[in-house]
Amino acid sequence: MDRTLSSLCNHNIGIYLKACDHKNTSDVGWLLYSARQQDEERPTHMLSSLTNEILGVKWKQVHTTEGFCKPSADDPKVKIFALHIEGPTDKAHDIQQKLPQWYSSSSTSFPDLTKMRLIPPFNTIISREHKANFATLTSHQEELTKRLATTTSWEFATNLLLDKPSPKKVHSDNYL
Amino acid sequence: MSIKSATYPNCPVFHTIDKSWRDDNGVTFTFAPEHESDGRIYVDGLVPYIRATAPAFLSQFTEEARNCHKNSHWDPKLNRYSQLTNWAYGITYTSMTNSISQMSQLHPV
Repeated sequence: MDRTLSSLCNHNIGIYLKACDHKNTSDVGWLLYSARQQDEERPTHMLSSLTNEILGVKWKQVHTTEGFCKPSADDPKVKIFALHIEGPTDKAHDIQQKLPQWYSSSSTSFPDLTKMRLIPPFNTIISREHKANFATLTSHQEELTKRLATTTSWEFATNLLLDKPSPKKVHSDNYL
Repeated sequence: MSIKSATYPNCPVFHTIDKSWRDDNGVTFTFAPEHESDGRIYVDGLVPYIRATAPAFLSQFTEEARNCHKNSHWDPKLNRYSQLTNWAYGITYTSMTNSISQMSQLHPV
């Protein structure tokens, strides 16, 4: 226990919240063309309400079944990241069936107007052709994340709650 | 998100619009390099653009931003905003006050 505490204090290890609070979770897939600048909470709520399941969305590395190899200086591996969706294991298949309505390669309208494509986990792909496409699509994702330009605006008001009428006033108006 | 690019009419200018990470006030816009000039113009002139297209949403902006763009207006033909800066009036005003002060020095009452 003391060793764990000292490791936590020295930032040798960290505590990361799970994307979703299920006993057993499974990968649903990755949303390609997603950006690091996206707020993870918003797609989490949006996808959960669309599928009627509690999902977790986090910015994670796109994994394949190649296995973990210690990166070496001679052969640096390119890490490709995208928004990762996970959900309850018992309903993962249903979620994988539902999500392509909005994020398949043929869909043209997107729930929040952000164009993204869902790709399933690499180990669930059976077709060799699709496995080859997986590499192409992930390289597109890498290219996009490298090229995306950003700008930030601080002109939006965040204290809109203060602008609401006070409950007393509303109550008195109703009373009158 | 529904703002379309001038050069690529079927493509939206912005790829994503989201709250900035660990920042309650910031909103981050991302765009492809092809839309960079358009994107930066829209973000810079967001208040005049909203005033011209959907003025009901102006309440979503800070008072400071609205005051800052008080004299700006959105040109839908050029897809950019122009600002009627106060500097012209400022120069006129200062030159007038200077001339008045000079006159008062020359012709003291």
